[in-house]
Amino acid sequence: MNKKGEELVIEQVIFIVLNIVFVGLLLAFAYKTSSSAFTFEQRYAKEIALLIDSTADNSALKLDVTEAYEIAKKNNIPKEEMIVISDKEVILKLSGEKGYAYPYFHKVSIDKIGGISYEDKKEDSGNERVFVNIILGNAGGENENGQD
Amino acid sequence: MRMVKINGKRANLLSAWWILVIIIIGSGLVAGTLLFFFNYANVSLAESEILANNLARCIFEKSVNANEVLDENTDFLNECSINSELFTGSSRYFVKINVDYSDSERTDFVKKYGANAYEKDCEITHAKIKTKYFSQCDIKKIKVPDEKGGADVEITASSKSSGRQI
Repeated sequence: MNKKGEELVIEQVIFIVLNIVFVGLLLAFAYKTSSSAFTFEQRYAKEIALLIDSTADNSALKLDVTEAYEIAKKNNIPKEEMIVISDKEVILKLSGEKGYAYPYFHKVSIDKIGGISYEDKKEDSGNERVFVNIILGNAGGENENGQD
Repeated sequence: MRMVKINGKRANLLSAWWILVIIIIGSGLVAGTLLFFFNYANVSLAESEILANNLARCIFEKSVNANEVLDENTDFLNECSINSELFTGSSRYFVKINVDYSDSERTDFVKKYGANAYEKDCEITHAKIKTKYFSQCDIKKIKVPDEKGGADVEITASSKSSGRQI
């Protein structure tokens, strides 16, 4: 190959490599955003709010929050501060920055102490799963909803 | 960098034009990704369905237990364990309960709670027009029996609920 040809090949190679790097960076960005704390905060806050809305008073919810726990652990957020349920909102905080709150309309009472508890379970494969237990009491509505 | 011929004109592969194209495509994709994940998973329709189901079940059970369809003076939200605070002020929820008695002794009634403006959205979305900017609606129709002949009850529930960063 003559010198002119070599330069042309090198230029093409650099061009292709830079394009691959560009596409790689975009894919990495999309992946990082999809698995970011904010996305998981939204997902779990909405999931828990919908569960509370559709569940009867005086019952308990159990939800696998392993993915949320992994992110919270990475960001030094204690398990106990990860999920907070106020009178009308579910608040998820998985990073040191802001949290995410989503409202629920079912009038229930959730005890500040004992209302939310966590449970660690080790699978046969050795993986640890984390579950949150939420106990829904009656908020003092005239009577129970009567749902299953 | 060496020039190559494109459409008979000489041009650089790694030119300022190429960098500009990369920047435009890159920023478009970054903006799109951020916009998509900023409001990840719209659950308004599921919320409306749950709200309508809860009310339908509650109205049916309480009416059957009392052997009389709940009347106009009933505070349906409180009676059905629904947080009425969310239906005041600039509410993002709407509920309409339409009770049509089978007998002529009792007067039919309609009760509305929350953002009345969503009622129009419900009519539009019920006509199968899909738009994410409108509230999502669900309509449940039930027949409630009682000793006077019962009533047809139609429940319209709508939600445009959104979360917030705190």
